[in-house]
Amino acid sequence: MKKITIDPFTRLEGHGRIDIFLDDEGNVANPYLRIPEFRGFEKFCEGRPVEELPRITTRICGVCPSAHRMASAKAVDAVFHVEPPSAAKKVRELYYSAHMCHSHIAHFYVLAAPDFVLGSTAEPAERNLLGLIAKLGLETGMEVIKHRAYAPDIQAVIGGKATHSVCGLPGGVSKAITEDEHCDFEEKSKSMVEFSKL
Amino acid sequence: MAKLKLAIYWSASCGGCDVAILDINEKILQVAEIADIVFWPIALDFKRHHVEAMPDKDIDICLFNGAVRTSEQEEIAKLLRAKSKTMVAFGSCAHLGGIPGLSNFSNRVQAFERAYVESQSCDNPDKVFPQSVTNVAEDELELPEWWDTVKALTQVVDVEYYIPGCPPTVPIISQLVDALAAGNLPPVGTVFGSDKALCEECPRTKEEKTIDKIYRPHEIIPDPEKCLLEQGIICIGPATRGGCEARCIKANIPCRGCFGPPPGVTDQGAKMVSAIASILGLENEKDLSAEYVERLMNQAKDPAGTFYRFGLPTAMINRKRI
Repeated sequence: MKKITIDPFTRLEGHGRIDIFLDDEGNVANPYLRIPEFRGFEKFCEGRPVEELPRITTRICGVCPSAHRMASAKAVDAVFHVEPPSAAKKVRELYYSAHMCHSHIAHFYVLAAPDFVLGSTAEPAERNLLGLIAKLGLETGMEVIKHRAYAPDIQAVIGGKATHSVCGLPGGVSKAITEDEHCDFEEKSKSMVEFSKL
Repeated sequence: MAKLKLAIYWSASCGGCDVAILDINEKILQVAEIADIVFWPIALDFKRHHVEAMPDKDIDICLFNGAVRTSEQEEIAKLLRAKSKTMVAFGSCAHLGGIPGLSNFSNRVQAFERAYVESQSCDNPDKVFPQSVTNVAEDELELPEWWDTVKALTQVVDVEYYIPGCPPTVPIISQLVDALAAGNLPPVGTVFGSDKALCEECPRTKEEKTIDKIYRPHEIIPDPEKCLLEQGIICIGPATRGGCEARCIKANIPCRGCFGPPPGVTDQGAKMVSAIASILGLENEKDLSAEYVERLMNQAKDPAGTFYRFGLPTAMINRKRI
């Protein structure tokens, strides 16, 4: 029985390997997905002060850490029976919206688009973000890079760091937003909306 | 100058280090000018067999992120070491053991029991754990061996440089890219970042005040201008290498030490205990009973998990005995 092995699988967040077994006609008989990675958050989060968890669980995934931060912050709010004030909820929502933009731009341009723009048969050395920029031209490439940076910039201002930010506390956020930051966010957000229409 | 060959790999990691490399933005084009990326699973489709087919020392520089916990991670660390002239432990997990290193408070069986049996979202009455070999109709399928103890990269292979941080900052990654472009790498063994403790670059004011109470971060609204530790909030700054620009502290949240110990400090947690002891309960210290002092120190919750948040595997005592 012929076996095709894809090790590791690429252009997504996560570790894995796929073994595909083919029958005599060359058709897929059975594929197996193997996840060789396990870090054990379920165990090592035990014993940590609960208010620390929003800054630990982000490490479940460094590509979507804000989703884990937000889920953990909400869980911790519930543990303390506290309802964040309206301003804090809005700051959290702004932060999470910035994450959505960051994640979608990263997913499309870094992970998925190379297949569509360069084709699934392109060489691995070409079929990636750098190949994509070469194909689209530097001007478009710089627009992609600029707008991919805007969303993490907003996250970093609110959360200290773009990846694994630290702003979430039980009952709210640790930092207010200044008027200047507000204006900057608004400008960047509008620019991202225009970029999305390209 | 001939183009460099660059490999980037993730081991027991979250992908945040890989995103940090994307976060250098337009500088990624400079990377593309000076180097061909020959392996980078998050962004390029090169496979393990491509690496295995390379001659030894063919890769000029390998940025390895993530801790080492499984037989497969050790194999790949050794494979990339053999194929690379220069190995960089990139980010807290490769440098110190990182957040996954907190696993060293338990062992393999405890972690599996918790995740695969006790977990509220698991239905596993037969207590099936991941097996290193599983027989299926077509073949024998293998999973890596999962060890009791998490290791940093340097505990598995020789490492030339360390890029600290969870994740590393853009200026520090840029510093490495510039050094590569100029062909001007620092002495082997260099940990990038500052040579001083984080307190040296912290914008908050220190008043050499003593404290008699420790607050958890949510129990107090700290003065934004003053040292967090001197307001009674555990901040690992005194036991942490600078170079991060105090990014968490600027968001009013105390440091948890992701840059590891500063030069000259062997054990980050021991240094932190000493830093707390030197400001806590000093008023009339001679008149305080041992029980009272113990009660003061016990206000610090989960000291091991806080002082060794990012560096348990590389601490002097690197795991719990079970």
